[in-house]
Amino acid sequence: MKVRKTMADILSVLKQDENIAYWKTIPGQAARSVAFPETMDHRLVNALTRRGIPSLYTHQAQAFHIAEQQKDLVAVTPTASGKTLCYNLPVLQTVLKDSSKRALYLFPTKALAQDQKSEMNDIIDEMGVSLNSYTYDGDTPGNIRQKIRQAGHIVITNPDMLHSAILPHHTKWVSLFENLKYIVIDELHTYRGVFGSHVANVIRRLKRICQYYGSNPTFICTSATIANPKEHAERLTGRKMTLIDDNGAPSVKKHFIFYNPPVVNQQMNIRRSASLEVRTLAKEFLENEIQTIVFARSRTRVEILLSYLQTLNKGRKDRATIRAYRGGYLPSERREIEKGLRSGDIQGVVSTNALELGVDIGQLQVCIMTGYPGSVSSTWQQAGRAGRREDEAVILLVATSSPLDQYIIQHPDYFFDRNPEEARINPDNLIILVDHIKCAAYELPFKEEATFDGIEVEEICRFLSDEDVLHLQAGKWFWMNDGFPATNISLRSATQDNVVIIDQTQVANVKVLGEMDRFSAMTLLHEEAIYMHQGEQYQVETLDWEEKKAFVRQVDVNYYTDANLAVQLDVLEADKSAVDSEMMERAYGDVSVRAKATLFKKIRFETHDNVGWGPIHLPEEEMHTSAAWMSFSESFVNQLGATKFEEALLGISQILRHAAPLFVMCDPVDLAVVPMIKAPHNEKPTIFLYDKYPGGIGLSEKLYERMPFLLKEVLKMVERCQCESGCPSCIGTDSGDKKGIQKLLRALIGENTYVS
Amino acid sequence: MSLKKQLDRYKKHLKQPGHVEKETTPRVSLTDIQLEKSMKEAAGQLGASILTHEQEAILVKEQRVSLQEKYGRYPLADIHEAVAMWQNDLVEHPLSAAGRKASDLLFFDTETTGLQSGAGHMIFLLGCGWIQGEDFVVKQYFLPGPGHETAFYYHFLKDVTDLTNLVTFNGKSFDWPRVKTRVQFVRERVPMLPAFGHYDLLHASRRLWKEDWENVRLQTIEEKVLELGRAGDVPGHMAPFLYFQFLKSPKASLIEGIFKHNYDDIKTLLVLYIHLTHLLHGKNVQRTPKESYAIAHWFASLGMTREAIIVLRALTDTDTNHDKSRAGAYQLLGECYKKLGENDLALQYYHYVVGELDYPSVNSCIEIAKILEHQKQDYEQAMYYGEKALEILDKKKIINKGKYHKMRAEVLHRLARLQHKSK
Repeated sequence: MKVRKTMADILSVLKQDENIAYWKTIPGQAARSVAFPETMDHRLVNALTRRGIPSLYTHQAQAFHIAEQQKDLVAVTPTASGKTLCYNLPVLQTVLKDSSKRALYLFPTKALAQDQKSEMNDIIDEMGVSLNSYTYDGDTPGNIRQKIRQAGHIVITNPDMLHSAILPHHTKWVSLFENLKYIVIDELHTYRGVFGSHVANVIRRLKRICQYYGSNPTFICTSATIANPKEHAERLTGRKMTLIDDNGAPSVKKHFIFYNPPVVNQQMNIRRSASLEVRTLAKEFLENEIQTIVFARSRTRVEILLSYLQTLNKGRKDRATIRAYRGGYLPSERREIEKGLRSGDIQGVVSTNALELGVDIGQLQVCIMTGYPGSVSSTWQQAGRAGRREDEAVILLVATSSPLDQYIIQHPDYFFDRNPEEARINPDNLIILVDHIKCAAYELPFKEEATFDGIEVEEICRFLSDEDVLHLQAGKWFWMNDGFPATNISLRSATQDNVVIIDQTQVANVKVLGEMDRFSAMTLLHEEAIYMHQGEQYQVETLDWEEKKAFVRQVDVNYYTDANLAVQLDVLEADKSAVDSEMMERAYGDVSVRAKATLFKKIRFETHDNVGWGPIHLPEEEMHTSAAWMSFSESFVNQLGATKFEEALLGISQILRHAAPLFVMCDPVDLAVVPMIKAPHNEKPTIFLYDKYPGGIGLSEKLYERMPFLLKEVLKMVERCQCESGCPSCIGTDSGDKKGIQKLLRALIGENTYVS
Repeated sequence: MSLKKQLDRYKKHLKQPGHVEKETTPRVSLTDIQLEKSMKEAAGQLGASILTHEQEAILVKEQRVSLQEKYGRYPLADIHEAVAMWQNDLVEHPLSAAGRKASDLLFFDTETTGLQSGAGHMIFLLGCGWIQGEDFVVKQYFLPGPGHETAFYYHFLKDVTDLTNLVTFNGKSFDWPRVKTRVQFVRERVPMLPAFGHYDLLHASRRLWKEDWENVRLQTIEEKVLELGRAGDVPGHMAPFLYFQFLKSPKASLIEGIFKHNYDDIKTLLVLYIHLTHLLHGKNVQRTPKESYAIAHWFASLGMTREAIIVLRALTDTDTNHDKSRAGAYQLLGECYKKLGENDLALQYYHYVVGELDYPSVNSCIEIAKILEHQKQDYEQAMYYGEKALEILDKKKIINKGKYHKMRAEVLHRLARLQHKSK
């Protein structure tokens, strides 16, 4: 009979494993609690006590006190630290005291809002009071909408709904806006980039409507760990914030282990597949009945891992139950998983990063990540899933061969010492701003002298008046157009006129797969392109550029397509510039990007052979945006030789493509890197990094500021890679000149001057 | 870089998708005096007067038509006869004017700056019509610019104090919510919005003609049943654009057509109300079989079972059309008698549908099975019809899967119970 191994047994074996790149033990922390505040309503105290909460963690009490004084706050709360009480307590306290008061909760997704509603209703039921808390989203039935508008004490919704359904119809929400006391913004860190910049403007509109109805609500925000929670919250809400980051929740001792699969091809520096390693590792824990959560980056990965792990313990009566968790699960399904984990019926969960978003399924003992999640903060969030009260927790990060994974796994100090990423937004991006000024004017006319939360709007209003959208009369700019502005403005899409991807595989069931911005569509959705969607291959059959529709059909082929995009970059205006060394100058400013897709190649998967090509007939697209760029001096090129220099330039661009998004905490698709041998504005070799959203969203500005630091990190990535002369894990290709790149980088950061 | 320059640079990205360049009047800035002058001119040309309130001004135009005038197939005076019809018959019907005089009715229609219902769209023309002595009076309130809404609603609500008998075309979900939204913005400075009750003629028209017609728009109704045609009418969807032009350059010629359109709509509401009254009462007008069936169906769904039976009886006596529509009428008769508790009659009609007309439907079979089971305790026969229902159900083209499965489960449940009972 097999004897079950304990966690300690497994750990001692694991310690011998030569693939372990780094092992960090994080000591546990005892809870720091305080008694319920004296001012807290006794019904609330009793309800919490009955639910097994005898006291508050320090950060919860702090939040309560600050919110009670009507000060805006942002609380940084790691996974499972009881963050919901940070806002639920002050909100419930307020409505218990005066039932005419209202609160508005914003969550980034519907699922989170649903979760919150059931949690809120549990407390309300426990108190036995009649308070109404409702979710208001696209699924809310028409017959209860009116009740929510008039009598919902706590309205739980998402920014999209606020933008397109609540604010434009504010006259139906008078009782909410007149009595709004708190605005709760959970998962603050998710509002970044284009989405965050839109949401910041939706909040400006919300504040404007509140002001019109005479209320001045307090903001309570919560965020996962990011580098700049206070600044981000202030940018997003336009309010001064009090930061609460002293977490009083307890944590257990944690082993954070970096695991690098062995190299199977020395020359190509190819490592064993991370999924295979995860299978083996997860099996060891699950077979010994240690509850484990496995994270994978794609749905397909989740399914593959799940099917393997489910075959564990075959034949045993009490075989381990492994469940998948993907986005889009219903609250009831999640609750079932949660219950199963608590009772032990479920041993393992395989999940995509859907769980990262605060969805609470409780904690497990082991967390295994298949690949680096992409950012320091997501990694900590996923790691937070491990840490059940009774035992030590284990977090395993299994690296893939990607440059980013390899960089992280070989730089544990980078990961552990460094602050998590910053969340960046640019609410004043002109295009986003103008969109929301339209919406705001639709909601309430702008007075001539009025500002939009401090932003001067007169010139924009005048512009919109010339465009026949607004009309000035009696000192006010009125909406004077038959359109409904919010319908044309999506908070989540990169540009306004996205290409819609339509799957016509099944004639009877044609469906929309997704959307893509025009720029990316040129190279990814041209006719005959192979488009990958959640691990499935689709071929583009027709691309209707005028109507912005791409019709695709599912296929199974052994190649992918790679399109050639001829990009012309023109500097329109340099706003900032600096000369860091004789070799290089850097600048930041406005650029015009003109791109034309020329042709595409079909490339076989395993061998990377070119198996065919075709032309692309699409018009040139132009976009104005902001960019950071670095130009290299002529003498420098001469020293290195034109060919070598060119190779190095391409190599650095390749690494920047992976590294730059990491430094500005953005989705890699939001940022483009373009090397040019001779930039038209200064005739010098230049690497451009530009925001892929018209007008820019603040990414390249940050990159400009941190360019020297970024280059240092890029150099480290190259140096630490174990390959001989460059590999896909570092410079992105196996035919590059690794040494040349290293030399170039060292020279650029001034470590030593380049000698040929 | 200046904002102006940036706006120009990004102009391409700022365009709304689907935005079509339209011929527009160039924007000229007018001084207040110029504006006042051109407004006076416009008022003169339109035959409207200017009313002011709190430094704001609106145009009001009042027209009178003699009730003797014939508009389409009816003289306007027929409204009196129509209102009289409701006093004793069909008094429970939603269109009933029982206890009211013709002069209590207020025919109401608006023109707006957009079809959406949000806070940013305005009503710029409120039109209402009522009977006064020998005349039909139509009064129109026009908003000369967005900054004059206080005066606009002040005068409208001062004049119109009773809105309990509003006759509209889709007023419940279109005109009225917009009035409420706009009054919200000026509520402190205008009279209270009175309680609202209404006769929605769109709802009634859809009941009668939706099945047959491509659309049930007011213009379609005019052409098909009211013997009306409009020459040179400004289509409703053009109204916002003409109004926007007017705001930029206030010329009466831009909005004259909108006034006319609104005026015609209000007169149409009056004759449509007369026509619907005649149809529902079956007086002065020949109903088509489809109209009869639709009316009976409407009555039945309102619980006016006896009234429905009268309509159906008349229909089955005269309708010589194909069996499908007759089957529908007989089945509805069966339902009505069942509701009245006259099971034998109900059974007779259901049997007639399934047997004689040979047009068996799932519903008729189930209904027969129900009556046989619960009233006659004839389980064997009930099972026969239950099985027949199942047979028809399975042969049908399935459109609504959920409904299909639910119905199927119900029939199977019934059959199982019958099986048990028959033992």
